[in-house]
Order: sequence, then C-alpha cells, then structure tokens
Amino acid sequence: MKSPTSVVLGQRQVYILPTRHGLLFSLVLLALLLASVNYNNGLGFLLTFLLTSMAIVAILDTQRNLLRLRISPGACAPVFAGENAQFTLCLHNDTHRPRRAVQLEFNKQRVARSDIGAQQSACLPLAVPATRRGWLACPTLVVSTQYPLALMRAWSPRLRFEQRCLVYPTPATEATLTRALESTPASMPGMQAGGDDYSGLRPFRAGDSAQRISWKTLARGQGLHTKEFFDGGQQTLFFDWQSLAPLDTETRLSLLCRAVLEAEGAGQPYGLRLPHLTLQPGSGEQHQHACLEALALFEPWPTQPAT
Amino acid sequence: MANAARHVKLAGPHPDRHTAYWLLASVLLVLAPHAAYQPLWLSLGVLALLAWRTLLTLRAWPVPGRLLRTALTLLMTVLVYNYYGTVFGRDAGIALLCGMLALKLLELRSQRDYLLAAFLLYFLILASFLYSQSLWLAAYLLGAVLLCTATLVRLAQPGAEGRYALRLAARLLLQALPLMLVMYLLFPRMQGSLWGLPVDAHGGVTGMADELRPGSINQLNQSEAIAFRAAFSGALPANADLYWRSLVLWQTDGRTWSRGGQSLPVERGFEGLGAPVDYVITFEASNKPWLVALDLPATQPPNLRLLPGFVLAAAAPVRERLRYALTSWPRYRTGALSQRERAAALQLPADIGVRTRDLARQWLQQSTSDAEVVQAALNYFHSENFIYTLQPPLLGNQPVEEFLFEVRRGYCEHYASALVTLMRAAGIPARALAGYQGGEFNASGNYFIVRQSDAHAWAEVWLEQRGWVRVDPTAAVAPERIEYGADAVRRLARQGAAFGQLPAEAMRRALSLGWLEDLARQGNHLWDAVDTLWNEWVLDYSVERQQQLLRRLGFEAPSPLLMVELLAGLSALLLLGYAVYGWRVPSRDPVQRSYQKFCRKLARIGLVRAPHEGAQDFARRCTQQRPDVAGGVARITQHYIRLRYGAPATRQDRQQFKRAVQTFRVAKKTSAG
Repeated sequence: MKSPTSVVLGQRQVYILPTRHGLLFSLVLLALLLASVNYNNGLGFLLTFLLTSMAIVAILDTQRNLLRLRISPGACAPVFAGENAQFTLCLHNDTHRPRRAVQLEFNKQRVARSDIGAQQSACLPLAVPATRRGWLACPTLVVSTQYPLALMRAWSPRLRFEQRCLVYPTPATEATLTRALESTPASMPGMQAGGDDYSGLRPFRAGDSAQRISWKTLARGQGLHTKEFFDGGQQTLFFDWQSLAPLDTETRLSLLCRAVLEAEGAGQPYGLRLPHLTLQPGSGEQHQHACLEALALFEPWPTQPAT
Repeated sequence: MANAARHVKLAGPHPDRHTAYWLLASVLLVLAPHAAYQPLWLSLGVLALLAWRTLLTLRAWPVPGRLLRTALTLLMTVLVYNYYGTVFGRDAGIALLCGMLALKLLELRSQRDYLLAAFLLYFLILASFLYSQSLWLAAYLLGAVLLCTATLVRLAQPGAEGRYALRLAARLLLQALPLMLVMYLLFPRMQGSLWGLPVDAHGGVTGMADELRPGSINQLNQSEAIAFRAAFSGALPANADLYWRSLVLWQTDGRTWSRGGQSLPVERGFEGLGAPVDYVITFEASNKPWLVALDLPATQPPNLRLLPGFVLAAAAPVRERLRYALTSWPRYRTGALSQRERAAALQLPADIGVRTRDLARQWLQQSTSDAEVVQAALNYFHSENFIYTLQPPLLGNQPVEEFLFEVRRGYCEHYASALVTLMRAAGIPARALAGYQGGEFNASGNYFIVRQSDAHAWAEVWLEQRGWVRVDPTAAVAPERIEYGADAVRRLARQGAAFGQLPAEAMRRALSLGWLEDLARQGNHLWDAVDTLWNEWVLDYSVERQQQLLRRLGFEAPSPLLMVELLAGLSALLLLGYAVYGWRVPSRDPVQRSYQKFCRKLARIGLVRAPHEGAQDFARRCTQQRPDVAGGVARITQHYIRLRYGAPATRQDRQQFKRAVQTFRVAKKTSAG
C-alpha cells in the first residue's frame, strides 16, 4: 500500500491470525474439553467454555485495536551515512477507545510499541541504518498488535510512505585523511591558494582561512591548526572536487564533507565546486545543508535528476 | 555520530520480575486445593520448589543447572510412581502434573516458558473440579482464573500495570459470559465417558441400608446428609402424608427384616382417589439402587425399575445425583392379592415368642374384621406404656417379644417390625416398609429437603376391599414424629420432653424457634436453594436435562445436529452484538460526549468532522462553509479546547459547556445563498 499522506486501516486492511501461543492455547482448550467430556464434569465444561469464549472475545479486541487507526509519516532529519536514519511514524487514534500495545514491525521484527489514548496520537521512532549516501526511502512497515492476550496477531498490509531521508556522505575520519594525504601529498581541498612560504603552525583561531588548515595535524588527532604563512591569506575558500583528482569518488566526497563540516564549525565562509555544480561561498546552516545535499546526491556521470 | 550504535530491534520478550511474582501467586492459588487430595510430601515438595523459585527471582540467583533439574524430575516421577503404583490415571497424573509444573518454574526464562506454565494452570484448575464441584471451590477458582488471565495480559503487554491487567482480564471474562452460557447449554453432551473412569471416581457415600434390624443398634442414624430433594409442581401434601417409600421388606427371620419377594409379580395398577400430585425427585448419590417415591407412585420414569410393592429402583447403584419426575396418589385403593403375595405377606418364623402369638390371637378373637385387629394393635401401642426414644436398649434373640412386653422403648423400626409380626401372627397379610417420612420445606426454593435422619419405617396391611393400607404404629406412640417431623422429635428429645402426652400448647412452645435459630434456618434454606440450583444447572446438567431444556424451548426432537446449529447461530449473533456494541461505546468523558453531540448537530447541515480533523481545523472549515453558525462554533470550540487541554475544569464549567451545546442551534438552509 502506497500513500503519500496517511492511511486509515479499515476492515479490509486488518488481517488476523492466531500466534504460536494462540495455537498452543487452542490445544489446551481441546484438552480441557476432552477431560470435561470424559468425566462429564459440569464445572469443567463451564471453565472450558469460559476460556474459549474469552479467546473469541479477545479476537475481536485484537482486530478492533487496529481498526480505524490512522497512520501518517513524520519528518526525518538528514543523517550521515553510517548513522541510523530516524524515521517517525505517527499513529493517530481518532476513536474514543484507547488502543494498547500497537507495534511497528520492520523486516518481521518488532521495532517499537506504544499505547495510544483516546483521540491521541503517538509518534514512534524507527531507526534504519543509513549505509549509503543519497536518498534513503522509508522502509515498508507493518503496524501490528497482539493485544490483549497475545493469542492472536492482527496486522496491517505493508505500508510504504513516500517519506525519505537524505543521507550525507560519511565525513572523512582521521584515518581516511592520513591515507588521502599519503596519496596526494601536494594538494588538499582548498590548498590551491595562499602563499607558499610556510613558517609554522599555530592553534586555529576564528577568522583563520580554512585554506590554511593543517590537515596533517588534524589527521594526527591534534585538533585544528592553522598553517602560518608570511603573506596574508584569503578569507574565503573553495573546496574543489578536481583538487582531489587521484582519489576515488566516495573518498573525495567524504573528504569534502569533512571539510564543509570543519569550515562551518570554524565559522569560515566556504564554497564548493563540483563537476556540474558550483556553490558560491557562504556559511550558516542552510548553506551547509545545500553543500552536504549536493555531496549526498552527487553523481559522477549525471543521469536523470534525483527526485 | 554519537548514536551510530543504536539498537534497532526492541529487547527480546523476557518477562519482568513482577510478572514472575504474578505467575507464582497463580500457581500457589491453583495448587492449594490439590493439597487436600495429594500426599503431604508432594505438597511440601511443591511448596519448597515455589519458595526456591521466589528466592531465585528475589535475589537474582542463578537458575539451577540442567543436570539438577533432570535429576529432580526423575526423582519426582519415581516418587509419584512409588506412591500411586502408576503415573497414569487421574490421581497419579494430576500429582505428576503439579510436580512438573513446580519444577518447570525453576527454568522460567522466556515468555514461552511463562505462557506454558499459565496454560498448565488452567488445566490444573479443571483437575480440581474432578475432585469437588462445590460452589465455594468454583468461586475460589474463578479468582484463580482471573489471576492467571491477568498474568497472560502482563505477558502479552510487558510493562502493563497490575491493576490494568486485572481490570482487562475481568472485562474479558465478563464479556465471555454470555457466549460461555450459550456454549455450555447447547454444546451436545454425551452419555458415558470417552475412555472410562478410574475406579476411585466414586466413594464415601452411603445411603439407606436395605434391611431392618431393630434392637441391633442403639443409636439411630442422625446424619444430616441430604438424601433427596422433592419439588412439587402443584399443591403441597401435608407433612403427615409425606411417606417416601423406598424398600418393601417382606422377609423376616424374627430378628432381621429383609427384602425377599424378588420373585413376586410387580403390582402395577391401583385406583387413585382424590387428586394426584406431581413432583420431581433429585436423589443424592447413595451407592445403592433404591430410590424413593411418595405413596403411591402411578408412573414409572424411563430407565428406572418398578419392584414389587410399588417401590422404585435404579438399574445400578446410584453413583451420581439422579433426577426423575413422578406422579403419586396420596389416597388410593390397590387390587387383589395373589396367592404368592399372600404367602409372602404372612411368612413368619416359628420362634417369635409365645406372648406375641397370644396377643395376636386375643385381638383376632375380639374383632369382627381385620381392620378392627389393626385398630386394636394401634390402641395397644397408644394406651400401654410405650415410649418413643432415639436411644433404645439393645434387644436379644426374640426382639419383638422383648420389645412388646419388657422394654417398650424404641423408634420406628421397633414399632413397625412389631406391628407386622403381630398382624402376620393374626393372619393378616402385612409387610414392613423402609423409607423416609416428612422433610424440611424450603420456602426459598419451594421444595422439600429430606435428610438421612428423616429415615423411617412403617407397615402396610392388606385389607379386604381396600387393598394395601398404610399403618404407622409410630404415629400412635409419638404423633409428633409424623406431624412435625424427625427434626421436631430431635429437638424435643434435646429438651428432655416426653413423647405422646404433651399438651398442644407445650408442644408449640417446645417447637417454636428462637429468632436466631429461625434466622439461621432461613439462611440455611436460602443457601440450600442456591445449592440446588447449582446442582441442577452445573453438576447434573446432562443429556437428559439438555433435551428437557430444548423441549421446553419448543424444539420437538432436539438432535445433536440441531444443538450445533443453534450453538453456531446464537454464537454468531452474540459476536455480531459484540462487534456492534464495540463501535457504539460512548465516551465516558462528559465533555467529550457534549462535543460529540455538537458535531452531530453540525453533521445534520452537512458539516461532518473528518476523523483526523482537529477541533480547531473543523471550526475553521465550518466558519468558511457556513458563516451563519460561525459565532456559536467558535464559542463552543474555544470552550471545548479550554476544557480539554487547559487547566483542570470545574464541574460548573463542564455543565456550562453542556448547556452551550444544548442551546446551540443550526438552521437547515444556508444563510444567503
């Protein structure tokens, strides 16, 4: 079932079958019935039929616990590859009957459970590992319940919402940086400008050019340092795809991602130059997002624009 | 990247500690009644295992290893086998199940272990009913069912509160009741059992002895156990007419009176005089085949035997409560006596005693008819110094002679046997009868309760023109016994009153109950009425009762197929009812109810609130579509939002809201079209 906004579970959208425990319980009921018949035991019959009726009433309860439940997707903030994308799914109970123990299932595993009061909503988080940069679609989910006795399980069809999560490339780690430096000793992002008269290192200060960041010290885990040059450096810098030429695409994106984060963290304006896209220097959250999005959706051979 | 290693899956279903305590409490509750039927070592063993389990949970001790558990299981099996001689059958099987459950508790880990244990508990609850089906036990175990079910709720919904679990379990069980009743009444019952009952299924019940031995015991049966109950559908007979015949004793050796007469023809026809009475007897298990019938039964229920002398018997010893309907004529005239019957009714051993024979001969000479001889005998008992007592002295080899001329103290058996001996000696056909006389009327349930202590013996003589006539010599000695019943006699005896000579006033005083006694008696009657209903609908609800019920409901020939059809139909109807009821459950919140009413009013003019639409969104839409109602809608919506989401509302405020909704009017047509 595919729906952009919200889904209401009707009679036809709620399936129900006994659980393993329910099947076991029916065996117990059979044993109770046989014993009652054999001993012609009136109280035995009463007990057997009480439990049978209870199980039947519970079936209705199980189904009713999902019927008319409205499900809509919530927002999903962008994450970096390697993290978990935090999707949310909101369950709205528009009826006057509280719903209990409604659960979300993903890949046949229960991932979240919640009670939903009368005329209330519950937004359940769904953490999905984001392994690759780009768009991560919200996985098909199933809303299910085993309320009240776990003898029956009612579940919805597989729900697929058009909700998706943007996954930025993984920022390069120190180890990646080190390896990158070994293969391209001369050029690092933003190192095509500035004086060559390298005089020493000093701790990074706000306002320092990111062009002069000492990647080597960063790679060694010694924090952000600025290379001191004798002539005054430029205040803005461009991270250029081409400058990382010998590296493979993903490593380059990863390094650029790290660079964007560092520059933004240092409050330094920065621009990004990709083969088919150039983002003029700027700073701030929106600018960072635009840069990271460009990296996330970067395609070395441009095809159809991603939607 | 701090949250990179987050668990995506919820933790596995391992029930928490509180659920374990709930399960343990359920186990304790369910196993307690079993202790009464099981050897002490088993109960103690189970208790020890329960305590161990509790400590495991409480102190978080490690679960005992597989080797130890296997060893304990083996030990348990061997002990049970050793005690019962088997591990199968009812008693041994249930004992083994109890032990295994206690052992299983030691390895409780996953949700599945807990569920298995809870399911086993349901089975052990039923097992309790195989030993006793009393109302008390049922009420007690209903509590256990509730706790077990609440445990299931907690297992199904981890983290659920205890009170919530109990409430939900109670609701489920309550909702199950109508469906349960339909199933219970209509599920086709079977005659007999599936794989045979164990030999120990009955026992511990004794009914009436099938012979009289006056003078052999000096203590009458004082058992308060109920022999049977009799419910009359029309007018009630007087206490003095309540002679419940059970056995006709033809044969005597001078000391013992026994049945004999098996070869005699079965008397059937008799002429009923006056009006008959209809009644239903509920006969308690007696382990004897003899049943009771009020003098004199005109019908023979199916499956019952009619024996010579208008007495009923079951085909086999009565091991379960038996219910049968009868019609009797309290006034009657039986037919002629056959030669064999006359011989049997005159049989006497030679050595009954000289004085006895002389007395009989003397009466015969003084009388012109047999009836006068009978009257002479009754006069003799009445005027001579005979005493009715429940503790007579023992008698020797010629009990009748000794009783008549020396001791003169005895109860019904003594008088009945003496009278029959005298009549036979005078050449009048006579026979002794054993049965019950009287009974306690239970106004709460409109039936008589007849106890073992109401057992009675009397005589019948055969007179020309009249046939068999009941003669009760005890009535001549102690009219109180017949008029007021055995219970009155016992109370008089306790007060030390003499029988036979009491003036009516003293009698009334002696018999009047104190208010406390009266209250207790009424309470007992009420309880017995409940108990009787319980017996009727739970313990004795059999194939016959089921057919009876269906016939009363208008089904001519109730077959199992019809019952299944009815069962399916009614169940489907009930479930439909549940489903519909479920949707129409009104909100319990008065504010919510008023708001719903407000929405209904708007729906009438085509403004239907969508399920997902918030109150404010809805109000906005209403205002756009129908500006004429905008004022009212805005006011009520604001009020509603304040009540629902604002500070706690006062009662006044809520009532104002209700009034506002009530006075809210919508016009059918749009304002300016």
